[in-house]
This record gives sequence, structure tokens and C-alpha cells, in this order.
Amino acid sequence: MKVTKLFAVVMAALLLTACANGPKISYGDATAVETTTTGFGSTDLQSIAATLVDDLVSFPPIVQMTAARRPVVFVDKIKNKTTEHIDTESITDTVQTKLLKSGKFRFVDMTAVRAVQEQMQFQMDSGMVDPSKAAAFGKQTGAEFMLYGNMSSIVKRNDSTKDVYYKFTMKLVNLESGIMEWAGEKEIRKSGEKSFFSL
Amino acid sequence: MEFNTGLLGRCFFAAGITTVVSGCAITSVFNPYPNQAQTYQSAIVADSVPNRSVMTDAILLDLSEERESADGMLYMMESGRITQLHSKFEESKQDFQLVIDKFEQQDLASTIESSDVASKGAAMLTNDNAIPYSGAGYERIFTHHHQAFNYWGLGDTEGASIEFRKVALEQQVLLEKYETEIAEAQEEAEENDFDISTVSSEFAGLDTVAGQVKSSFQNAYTFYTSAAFWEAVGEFNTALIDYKKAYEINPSVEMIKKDIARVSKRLGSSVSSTDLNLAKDDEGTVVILFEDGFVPSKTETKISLPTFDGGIVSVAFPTYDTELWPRSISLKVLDDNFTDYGLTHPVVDVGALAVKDLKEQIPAIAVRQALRAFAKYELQKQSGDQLGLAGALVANIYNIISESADRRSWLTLPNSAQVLRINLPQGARELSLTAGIAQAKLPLEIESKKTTFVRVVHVNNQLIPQIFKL
Repeated sequence: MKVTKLFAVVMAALLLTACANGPKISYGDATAVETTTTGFGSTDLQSIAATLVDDLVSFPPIVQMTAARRPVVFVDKIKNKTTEHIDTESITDTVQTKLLKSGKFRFVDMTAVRAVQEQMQFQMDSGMVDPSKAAAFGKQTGAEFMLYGNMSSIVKRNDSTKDVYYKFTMKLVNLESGIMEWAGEKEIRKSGEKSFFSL
Repeated sequence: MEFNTGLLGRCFFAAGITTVVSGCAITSVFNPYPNQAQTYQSAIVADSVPNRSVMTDAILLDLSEERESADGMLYMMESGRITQLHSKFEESKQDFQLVIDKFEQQDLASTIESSDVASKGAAMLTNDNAIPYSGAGYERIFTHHHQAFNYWGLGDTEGASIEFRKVALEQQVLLEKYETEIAEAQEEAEENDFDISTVSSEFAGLDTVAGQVKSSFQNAYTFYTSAAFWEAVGEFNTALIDYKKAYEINPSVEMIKKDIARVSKRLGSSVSSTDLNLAKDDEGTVVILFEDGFVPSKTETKISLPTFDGGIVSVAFPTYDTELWPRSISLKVLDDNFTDYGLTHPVVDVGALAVKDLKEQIPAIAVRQALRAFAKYELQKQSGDQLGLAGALVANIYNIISESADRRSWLTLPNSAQVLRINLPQGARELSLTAGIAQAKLPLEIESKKTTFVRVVHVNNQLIPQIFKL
């Protein structure tokens, strides 16, 4: 009977596709260019961090200032003004790590301040730590500069294409004088286009 | 009997197989969606209703089972709104995230996808309900609008601002898309030699309703909500733009005029008006966002089309019954000193947005229906030729049963959305809210110079208030 044959063919096809579609897992290069979607991705993060850090450490007044000492910097949150939920802390983390590795700056970590405070309180008040060896309050170094910025985007979309433009701005300001010592900008443009056919 | 080996059997079988392969939600193929949605609507009830959680949890469980179905995004819109109105923001956020992901996948999805072909094939022998639900433009705007409230409810105002920016982006995208889309669909109808005027008389009533919205996708409620949000967080520039857009669509609402004047003044412009609806030093602002009723569902109209060889084939079209259009009511607001703050101002008729959306789809639906009518008529004729009168009768009955219009749309949305901005003295206050026979008392802690957002939903003769602070 034709129906039985047809049914058998369909079932076989379904079984075959089910077998062929097992997950494929592999390791990849963390710095390889990623173009899965037009959304913010690892390549964008890496290129932003690389550009801004290079820009900052090669800026002549900064080169001069950091020649003899390593100023202490505090990193503020990056304001996300895009239309995507982006973890901006991850961008500042990468920028901070790269700057630290350049050997030109030192940082105060505000995210750890509460934990540090609790630890020092414990050392002082618990009676379990030798007072002569306890870390004393009021000895921390205050930040001289603040690094902050914002990220914005312009998205354009029609029936067949999507264009995203990101602008990431970072500024270094002297906390005492309020003078902006440096500002850097990184622009990224990504476009996506519909294909005609896909499986 | 030759039945199984005949064309009829093969066609039925093919329709069944393609329906299964395309993984569509069979539920709406033979059972009209508005019937299912009535259950979802009943899940929006106030906290005070006894056994509320028992009742709604069962409905939410049913909805969550449809998460992975082809119509998943529709069910998640319903589920997301229900959970949000029950203040389960994390659950609601996950539901709407799925909807957002699906919308984004569609943006750059290929023009022809093989998986799509299967569902379209199934639709050819059943009805449009076999095509996976892909959402409407106004629903996408409401999705981001709701998602903003989820982030806000979870205390993440940056997340909320991102969603409000997405709302603005979608309003813009859809506005730009609107003109070309209709032109393309009409062109397609012409190419297929299908005269839309043969069915357009059935939809004549829609024009008046669609005329109530100045633009097909512009949602002034969302503009107003985001404007008030931006003003409260100090982004006056963005606030001014959104207030202006809300005013363009609703030039009769005097209150928005005051909002524009107030924000313009805050931005440093000289303003001639003296009434700026501005909070005094010891006052706080309350923005009331009122959502009334349920958006009307699509109905069905069956049209018998004559075929070229003298036969008749019946086709079903979705439409809206504008004769039975719900009348929305406003919310009356009093404080504990019996000061009357008046009624909320309607800024969007969601039903009209839905009507306009359907109107735009009619040319495309008409083309699909014409092709389907032809396919079904061929099926009927060939079964008659091969199987005699009994076969023709069976095919005819199948055609009648399977021919139902695509009546799917997000049905827990309100019918009308309204706004009111008032200033109250700081301290503990109680607002008395009345809409029709529904009443509610709402205790509020007013802080000077701060804005409190009160969202009130009026459904099932109850008022469901929620407070969002900044």
C-alpha cells in the first residue's frame, strides 16, 4: 500500500535527521572573530579594550606622567545607553586588567571595598588577630584619577538588513582638579543581511 | 475500500504529517484561539481573591507547556503578562525574553526557510493557524514595554531604560516599515490575479476604527510611560521627545501639553504657560498608568467564493466585529481628603492598533486564502471524481471543518490604556480608585520631589494596582 510506504519513508527520514543532529562540541580561539549575530559580542569587547588601552598608554601627557610613578585610578561604572543588555562591568574589567599589565597604573577596587572593610573590622574587633599585625584603618591610598565612560548605539533596521553602530567613550579625570586628562573613543559598525534560503 | 490509496487519503495523510513535522501548536488549528484565551484572561485576578494561586498556577502551567511549541511566543506573551500582573517579575522576564528572542530571530531570518515550507504546506490543506505565530508590530512594542516593567520591578532601572529604548526603536522601525509593507502585499495580490475588492466590503467597518490611531503602530501609552520614566530619572531631553510623540497622537489631552511645558522649562527654555503640573517642594508626583479591559479578539467571517467551473468553495477570513466594540471606562482618583483628581486620560485604543494590524495583513491573507481555496476545491473535486459522491461529501465536510480563520493575537492585553499625573503632599497617603463597579484603596508613601508610578489594571470587575518606585 502506498500510504504505508510513504509513512515508512517519512519515519526513516525523521529518524535519520534525529541521528544526524547530535550536538557538536569543540574548543575555539577566544580571540577569533565572532559574527553569530549583530548583537554585542566578544570581538567587540576585545577590540574596545585593546583600542582604548593602547590609546591611553600612548597618549604623550600620560606617557610623561607615568614615566616615574604609577598613579592610582578608580574605575566607575560604564553607563549603558544602548538597546542591549550588555555587561559593561566585563568591559571595564578587561580595560583595567590590560592597564594594570601595562605597568603604568594601579587601581582601587571599589567592588571589594565592603569585603575589605569587613575583614579589617574583624581584624580590629574580633580579638583573634594580633593588634600589632592587624591592618590599620586610614592607611589606604586614595585614587588620584577616575576612569569612566558610556556606551551608546544607533540601530537601523528594515525588512532585509540590520545595521548597528556602537560608540564607546572613556574618560580619565583628575579627582582633585576635575580636569579631564584623557578621552578615548571606539566606534564599531556591524551589519546583517537576510539570506534568501536556509535550512 | 479504495479510500487509503486514493488521493484523498494521501492528502489527508500529507496534511497530518506536515502538521506534525512543522511542530505547530495543533491546539489553535481546530479550536479557535480566543476560546483558549478566555481561560488565560480569567487568570488575571487581584491578590485578595480566595484560591487565586491554585487557579492561576494551573493556567500558568498549561501555558508553560506550550513554551517550546511553534506558537510559543504567543503563549509566552500571555503568560508573561499574567505573571507580571501577579508581580512575579523574574518569571515574567523569562517569558518575555523568549518572545524577544523570537522577534529578533525573525529580523534576519532567511526569506525562505525549509522548516517554514512544511508549516505553510500544512496550512495549505488546513488553515492559517498551522503557520507558527510570528507576532504583530504592536505586540512587539508591548513586549518591550512589559519587559521594562519587569526590570523595574526587579530594581534594575538600567535594564528598564534599555527596554524603553528598545520600545522607541521598535516604534521607529515599524513606522518606517509600514508604508512599503502594504505596497508590497498589494503588489503580490495583483501578481496573483486576486482582486481584493471582492472581499474588502466585509472589512469596510474597520476603517473607522483604524482611523482612531493616527499611525498604524504608534502607541502613545508607551510613549507617555517612557517619557514619565525618563523625566523621573532626569533624562529630560529624551522625556521631552517622548511626551511630544504622545501629544502628536493625542492632541486633545491637555495634561500632556503641561508635561511638555514642564520638561521644556527644566531644559532651560522659556515657557509662557504658568500651569506646569509641577510638584511643590513638599510634594511628590504620582503617575497613574491605567489599563482597562481586554483587547477585542478576532472573529471569523466565511465567504463562499465561486470557482471557475461553477462550483463553490467556502473560505474563512479573520475580522473584527466593530459593532460589538468594547467601551472603555476611565479610572476616578480621589485621595484621603476627598480631593478629586479627576479621571485618567485615554491615550491608546489597543483594539484599534490590532484592527490596523489586521487590515495591513488582509492582502497577504487573501492571497493565501485564494490559493488554499483552490487546493481544497481540487481535493474536493478529485475525491468526487475518484470516490464518487461519498468521497466528495467527506472532502466537503473536511473543508468546512478545517476552514477556520487565523484568530490568534495577544488577548490578555488591555483594550484601552490611560494616564494621569498628579502631585500629592509628602507622607502616608491613601488613594481611592474607582472604575465602574470596581473599587480599591491604595496606601502610598509619598516622598517629596520623587515620582511614584502606580499601574492599575481593570479586568474581571477588579482593580489590580502595582507600585513602581524610582
